[in-house]
Amino acid sequence: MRDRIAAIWDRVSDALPVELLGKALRATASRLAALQATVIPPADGARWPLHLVIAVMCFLASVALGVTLTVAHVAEEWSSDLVGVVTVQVKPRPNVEMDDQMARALEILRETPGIASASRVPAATSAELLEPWLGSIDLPEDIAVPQLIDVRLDPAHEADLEALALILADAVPGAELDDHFRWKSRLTAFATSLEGLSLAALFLIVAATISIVVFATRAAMEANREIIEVLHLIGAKDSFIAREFQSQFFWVGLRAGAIGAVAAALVLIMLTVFAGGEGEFFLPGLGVTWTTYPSLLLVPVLAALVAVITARVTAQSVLGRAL
Amino acid sequence: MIRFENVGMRYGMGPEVLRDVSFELNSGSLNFLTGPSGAGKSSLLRLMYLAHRPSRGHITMFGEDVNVLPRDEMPPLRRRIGVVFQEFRLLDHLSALENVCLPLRITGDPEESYLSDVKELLTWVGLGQRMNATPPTLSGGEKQRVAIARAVVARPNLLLADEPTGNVDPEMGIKLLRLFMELNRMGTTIMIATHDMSLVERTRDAAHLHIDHGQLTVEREAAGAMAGLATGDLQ
Repeated sequence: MRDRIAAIWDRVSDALPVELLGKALRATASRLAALQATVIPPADGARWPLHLVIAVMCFLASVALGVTLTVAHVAEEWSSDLVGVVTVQVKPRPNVEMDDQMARALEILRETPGIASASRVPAATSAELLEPWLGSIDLPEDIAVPQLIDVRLDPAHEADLEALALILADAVPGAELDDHFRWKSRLTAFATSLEGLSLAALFLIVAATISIVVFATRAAMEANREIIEVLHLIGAKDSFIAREFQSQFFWVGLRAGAIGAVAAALVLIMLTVFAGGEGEFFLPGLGVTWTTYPSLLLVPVLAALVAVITARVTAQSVLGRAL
Repeated sequence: MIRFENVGMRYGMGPEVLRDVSFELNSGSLNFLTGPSGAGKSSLLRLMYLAHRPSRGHITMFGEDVNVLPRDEMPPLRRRIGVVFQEFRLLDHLSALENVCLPLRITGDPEESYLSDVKELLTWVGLGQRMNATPPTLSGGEKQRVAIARAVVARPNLLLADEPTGNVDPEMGIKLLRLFMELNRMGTTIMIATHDMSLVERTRDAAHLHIDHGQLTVEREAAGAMAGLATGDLQ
């Protein structure tokens, strides 16, 4: 058995340039280490707590970003589904045949300018719409159920929906025109509020991250006061010393940002799988769309950028007070 | 090259640690600054390596008036000055080689342009085998030589050494003095602060400044631009 495994490993080794890959990985790691090497040593004690705090901030920022993009996408999808569509509901009335009511309503609709099509929603579809409330039972035939007419508007000719509603209400007892305006406006208000909330959260997270980096930069400079003085005395400019700190915080921001974004992506995927889906009844799916995930790649880049700029400005300001 | 005129210095609101200090260092001279502990030697050197501004008086270095020199014009001036600190002030997390490279690294030159010169310098000061050692693993004498190498690697016009033999045995002290003499011969102006009078006595032609209670007196003027050791001292 062992010989067989060894033989398989040999074949795999021959097929794949394992040694070459190992060398390339080692060279990349060494290059990365060289890029991260600075004259000023990173503060070991504060290294992981700082990573953790910024990673948490980036996690929250990623979730806020994911929610913002998803809400914007879903709201647009909902609105676009409702554009150009109105519904006529015909409620049963005593001593009036439902079929007569429906025929009259359809006749009026087809004669109205600006209406592209009007069709009766099949009884089976209406039953499906009622299923969440009534369950999957066969309704007795003598129970009167409102009937629906699906009306498509002609985008080329604007229909006068207010006049149409009055005509229908007058000519067909129990007929009501629903242009979904109330639903759409509430939906838009809800989406706008949620987007505003997410953006406010993003703003606060960025502000908190800046404060953390300012505090950490000052602490790092205080811890390395002796080294900074030596660098000054051998002729280093403020820009060189500030670059040392900004380089350290760039890597902290990038690493912590990547950790936060990956954690957020996992949580969003779980939310999509367990609480999202395609949506049921008239509620569309609330899951995060796949197009949202690439935008999370921005989070580590932005975290690194915020960290670099903040560290640079803080360091320059502190160094400016020295001789 | 360097001129102090009635210079006074105090730390914060404390008493004056230097009073009416006046002297001039000529280019290419070797100078000793002596005085008991706490007399003001290190404070005078702090003024010379631009770690402090004078409270009063005038300091001119390389033709620049230090009193009014803007902050952003300090670095080019500091690069013309090499400093051997009393407590070495090496960066413990860097190797001896990296420590010596620092003055060149801060100029932004690529490492390839100076690495071989730095290795040669370290070999010259007898640390060819200890280049990758970090300061905590080096002996006092080795640290001293790394500090000297760092101070001279960028070919400064002025070399300031604060008690350079204070942490080494007499034999190593003589060796270090030889090193300074060699640098002086190559044209570097040198100021050595020490309380070891035997070092001053070993040299001839070097200027001797003495400081006590913050007041400086010129004990001996420099006889020439270059100084030499008294015969037999190097045996």
